[in-house]
Amino acid sequence: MNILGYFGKRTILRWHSVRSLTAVICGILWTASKPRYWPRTVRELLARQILFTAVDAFGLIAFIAILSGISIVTQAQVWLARFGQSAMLGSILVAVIFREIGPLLVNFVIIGRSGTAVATELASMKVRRETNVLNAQGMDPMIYLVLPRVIGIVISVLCLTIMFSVVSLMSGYLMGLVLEVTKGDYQQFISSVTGAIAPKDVGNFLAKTIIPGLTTGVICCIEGLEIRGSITEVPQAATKAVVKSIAAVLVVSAIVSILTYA
Amino acid sequence: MQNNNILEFSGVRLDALSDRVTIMSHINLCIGTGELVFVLLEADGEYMPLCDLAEGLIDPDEGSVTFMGESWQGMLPWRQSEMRGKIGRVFERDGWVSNLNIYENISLSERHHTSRTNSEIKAEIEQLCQFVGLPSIPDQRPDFADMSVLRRSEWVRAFIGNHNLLLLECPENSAHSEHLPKLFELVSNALLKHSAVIWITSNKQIWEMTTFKNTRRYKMCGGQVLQVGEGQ
Repeated sequence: MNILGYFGKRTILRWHSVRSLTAVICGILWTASKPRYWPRTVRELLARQILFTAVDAFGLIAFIAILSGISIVTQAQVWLARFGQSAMLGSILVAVIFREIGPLLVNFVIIGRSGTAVATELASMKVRRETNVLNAQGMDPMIYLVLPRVIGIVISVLCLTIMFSVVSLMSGYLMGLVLEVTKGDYQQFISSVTGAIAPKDVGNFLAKTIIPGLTTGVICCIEGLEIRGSITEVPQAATKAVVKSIAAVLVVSAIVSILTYA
Repeated sequence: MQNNNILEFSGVRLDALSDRVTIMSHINLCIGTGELVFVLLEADGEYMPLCDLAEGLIDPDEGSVTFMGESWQGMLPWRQSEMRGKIGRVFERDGWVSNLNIYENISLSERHHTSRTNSEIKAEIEQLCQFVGLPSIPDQRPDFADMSVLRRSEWVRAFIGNHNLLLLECPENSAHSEHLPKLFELVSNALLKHSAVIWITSNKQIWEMTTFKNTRRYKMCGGQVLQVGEGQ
């Protein structure tokens, strides 16, 4: 096969996987909109998934947010003050934390923490034929296993990113006070940040949390359930899920930024 | 087809997935309400996915399987799931979800498919556990439970609620002989409540000696299910 044929084949394969990923996401959204597919067992799993993905990760995300906030806000305050552009602080912070860093970091943490767990858990269930046991009892793995995990991850990414943005801005402001580089009071800082958030920033924020949440959830579930049944495939499924999810987050983030701001 | 037919195999042929060799053929079997079909497996034979066919989990390569008047192949996925909720099953092997404890496993299907309250379901499980000789509802993970406890817990899971069809794959395996009369009693009660029962066994003694009302005996022979004698 010549090099053109090789790249052509790879492109067609990628296109097929993007198409099937989109189809599964649409299927999940359609299913999630029907009350029939939310019996109490699925609702309980959704609550468990949010507990595991969002509540249990709260401390880790807060820690990362504090460190990011200290670095970014302090740097921004120092350099903007030096060039006499302190009034731009709000818009710079919104651009860096709210539009880009927050959604990206939270998605990466969720992929590393929950995505791998989901892929490994479902792959192990497949190896042990537990998906067949569920199916035999009338619990479609797509409804019982995939739906609550995907929706749980989406809700968790959204909530954790909001929390990340607030904590990193607050920590940066407080650090600025400690280092005595912060000019202006607390209310001025808040109004400069909130004033810099335009409606399209909110759309960008939602797109960069909800869509990657969906892709991460679906990729990790599908990679876990797609293995044929050998225990050696379990770690491979987890690795593939992480790599594909990170790629999807970066691609979605870039596309959303271009569509929103270009 | 009679109105009280629960499950019907019509000219079913099934090939092995791996090498496409026919493992089951000419399966014609019909089971109505309150009937029991006893199937004896061939000694040292391959695993026969008769129950998977009966539940529409695998499609036959030829013929059709009909449950309560509807062909599995013609049902939408949500309908298939709904219909499988009407079936109780004892699995020959690998019948548990390992990240749920035994109680959660037992109650899962009832909680998923019915609107009965959790306390109602728990009360019935408690009653059935006592009936089969379990001192309380087992709450450990399946991986840490004794085989006899697991087997009796599977009986409880299969017989809880009001299933139209019961698929029992070697339910006597790993059970102590003193507990078997309880299993027979559970089956009798289910037949009285008009459930249809398919009992697959490799234990010839149980297949020959155990008799319920409306019982038909079949033998797996060279991939075919052959009736032995007349129904009782």
